[in-house]
Amino acid sequence: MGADWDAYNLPAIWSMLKEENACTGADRVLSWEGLAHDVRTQHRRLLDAKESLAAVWSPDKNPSARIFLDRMDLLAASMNDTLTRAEDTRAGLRGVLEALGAAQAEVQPWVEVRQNATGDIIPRFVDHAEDEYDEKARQAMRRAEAAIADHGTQIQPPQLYKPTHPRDGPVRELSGDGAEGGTGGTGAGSSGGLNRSSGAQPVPVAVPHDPPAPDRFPDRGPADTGEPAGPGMPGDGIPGPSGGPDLAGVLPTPSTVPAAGGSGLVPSGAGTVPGGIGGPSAVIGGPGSFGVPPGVFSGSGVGGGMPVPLGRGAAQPGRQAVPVRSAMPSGTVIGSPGTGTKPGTAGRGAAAGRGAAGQQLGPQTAANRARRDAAGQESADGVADQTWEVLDGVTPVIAPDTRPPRHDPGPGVLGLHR
Amino acid sequence: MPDGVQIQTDQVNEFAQDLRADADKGFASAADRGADLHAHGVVFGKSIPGDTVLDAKNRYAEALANTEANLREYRRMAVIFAEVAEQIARDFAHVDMSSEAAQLRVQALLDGAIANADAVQKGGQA
Repeated sequence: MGADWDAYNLPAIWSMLKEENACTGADRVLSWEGLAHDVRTQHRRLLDAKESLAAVWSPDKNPSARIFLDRMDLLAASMNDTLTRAEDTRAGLRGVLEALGAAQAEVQPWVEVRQNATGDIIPRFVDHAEDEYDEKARQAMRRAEAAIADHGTQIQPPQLYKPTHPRDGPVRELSGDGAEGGTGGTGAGSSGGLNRSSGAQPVPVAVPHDPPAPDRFPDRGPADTGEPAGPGMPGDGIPGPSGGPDLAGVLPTPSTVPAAGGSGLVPSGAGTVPGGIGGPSAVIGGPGSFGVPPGVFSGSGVGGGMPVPLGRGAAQPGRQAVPVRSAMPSGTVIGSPGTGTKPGTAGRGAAAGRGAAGQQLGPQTAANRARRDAAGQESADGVADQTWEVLDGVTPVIAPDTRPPRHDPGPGVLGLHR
Repeated sequence: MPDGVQIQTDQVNEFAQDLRADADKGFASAADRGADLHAHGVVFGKSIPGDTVLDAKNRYAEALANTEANLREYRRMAVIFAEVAEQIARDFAHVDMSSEAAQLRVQALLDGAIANADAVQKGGQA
């Protein structure tokens, strides 16, 4: 049965794959090839030696020779079996390693991309960027597993060599007819020598098997530390070593995001956004709204004012999702008086933070758009940029200077008026 | 040549020497390769979950173990065959044996050589 890949996210899958060493595996494939070559050579030499022995000690005329040559046939047959299995195992091992190597090469580039998506300004429950890469990694592992299932069957152990044929009965006692000789060993001339020989005795090989524990909720947290995030485990909102934000645990479930109509709630409360996008004081839904532009989390406005475009899975009527995945400029503070409305106006509604937030975050949006253009990610027909209203009819406070301009060097210049 | 046994002992002796040389070179080389592979163990899928990969690893581990054991035994048997062939060449050159007796004699020589090798091996392991 294959693995339950739905229980693993991309970091967990990469933690499995990164240990695979293609170079070491290739060395072993070559070793199997060399081994098969050696056994093939010796097998051929053994058959040649047997033929030459039969020529000088004919089994047709000497039943005693038949016994000796039969034993050689057993050895040759076992060598042939070992040779065949070695070639099959070499091919199977190569296939398995290639499958794992292909998955490794496929998944590796997504690790960094997913890490960037984890560290961007858009929470995971909004754009589901991490989910996309997790699913890609799972598909890659399913393909690799199917290939391993095919190639793995080629790996077959040879039969253990026994120096005697099963049809051979117990060795008969040699009568002491005065024949000298024997090998001089303890068993020479006695019965049961083969019975005492157990033939090839394999030394077991340890099978390393240490997969990460499956996670029932692999999508809850990115678990960028390489360990799968379990319920309530690190990765559910605690910033990783890289310091990137990890919002999955802070903002509990994606289901609270309004899918349409804008009446739903961004989880309220003191959900901090770690990782420096707003500093320790950045609070979604807390004091100091971000200034919600029209069309974004409109309605109750509990979500504060962060102009977060909705991504995949959370379409907003009348507005196309704009996937912005870039961090805010260094030093930008979301929720500060400069970026939103005044403290104390938090959560009053979408209109609470208009204008100011738009002006503050405008350069950020423009920068993101420039990056997208550079990356060629914008579709050919264009994507509507973030726009929001500003208040009209504000009386100008500063009027232009109507006095005629005067251009002269000014007083006290050397050489003038003297 | 003894009556009932037709054997050219010189050539049998030559066969024995060739086989002994093979045991020290070709069979030894193959056994060393098997031991090297065995020492490296299972080289893939340590952290991959699922029975599919685990089955492949189990088969590979068994293939390593059986192959190494066989190659080790092949080398030992090559030495044994060489010893027995040398003994046969010696004995049959001077002993007049009937076919039945010669048959038993060859079998006893093989059995004895294998048993002797087993005893030496067990003594070395103890």
